[in-house]
Amino acid sequence: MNVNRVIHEALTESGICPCVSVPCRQLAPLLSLLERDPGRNLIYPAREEEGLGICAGAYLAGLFPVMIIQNSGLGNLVNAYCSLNQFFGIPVFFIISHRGGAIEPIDAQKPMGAITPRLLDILNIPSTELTGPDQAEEVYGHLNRYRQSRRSHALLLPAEFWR
Amino acid sequence: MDQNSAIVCNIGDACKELYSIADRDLNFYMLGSLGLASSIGFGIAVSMPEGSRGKTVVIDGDGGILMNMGTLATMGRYRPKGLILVIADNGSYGSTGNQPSATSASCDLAKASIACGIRHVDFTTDRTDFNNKFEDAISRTEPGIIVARITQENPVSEPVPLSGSQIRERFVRALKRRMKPE
Repeated sequence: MNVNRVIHEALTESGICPCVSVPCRQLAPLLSLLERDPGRNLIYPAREEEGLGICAGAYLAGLFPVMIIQNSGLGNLVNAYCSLNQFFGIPVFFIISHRGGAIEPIDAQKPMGAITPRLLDILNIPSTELTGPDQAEEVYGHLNRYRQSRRSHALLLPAEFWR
Repeated sequence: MDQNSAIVCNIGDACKELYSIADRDLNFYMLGSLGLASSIGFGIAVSMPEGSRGKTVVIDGDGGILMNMGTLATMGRYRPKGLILVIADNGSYGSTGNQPSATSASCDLAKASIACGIRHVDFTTDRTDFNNKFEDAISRTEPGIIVARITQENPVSEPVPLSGSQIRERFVRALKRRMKPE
């Protein structure tokens, strides 16, 4: 089955909502599925930091939100993650398109791509890289653990994931 | 202000002042993340089930909005029900020594809000007028913004003596009660 459908189904079955996204080319097919699913309440903020604030509000209201972003946006939310999520104990789940890898056509993506796993480590956000389409089925388990444990987690999806 | 309305309050003197005069469980004191009070309020408002009581009121400053101007565009686009954004605009970064902000010169946040598609935008410089406009906003379902031009007075108060988890836990509990139908 198509990986984007697998992720969409995992989000639906886990009751994840809202889905807050600043888009990436690689995420376009998933976002197009979410745009047609009002139950997932897809919201496009102007910037990732703003999206993190929206997710924090949704969590306070009892929901389990997800941020669907490009790794470049991770740099835009560092202070908010520390002084809002860490300080108040508010978890969030990240689905991150990890650009800048071996088959990246855009050189400007490479510096941020190289530091992304270390940046997540510094932020104390456990992360899992899904390196191929056969690993898409793991998304459901990660989302379930996020709901049960109320702890942040990030999935890193490189270009190879969609191959 | 009705007892079921949640308040998300901007970092700095705004939090200290609110705590000292009207602390309650439904106050979320945003003690970090300058700029995100309106986004947190947005997230709460879009997550409230139908039939929840009360509104979501955000108290932000000009500095907070200038740091996150995209929030006006997002609010105008999605128009979350029951969200009221009060921008206390003193034209300065009050909590850090009154350095002048862009609203002290050329920026008009009420006009920016209108341009972002928010249908109910008010501007006031007067306390009684503010109270009337706020009551109007509370009585509506549609979201609204009130830009209140205020003076640079920062009453000295003590820091909010609550931990992050204390603020979160009591706020979450109180919000949950509010979601139950009457």
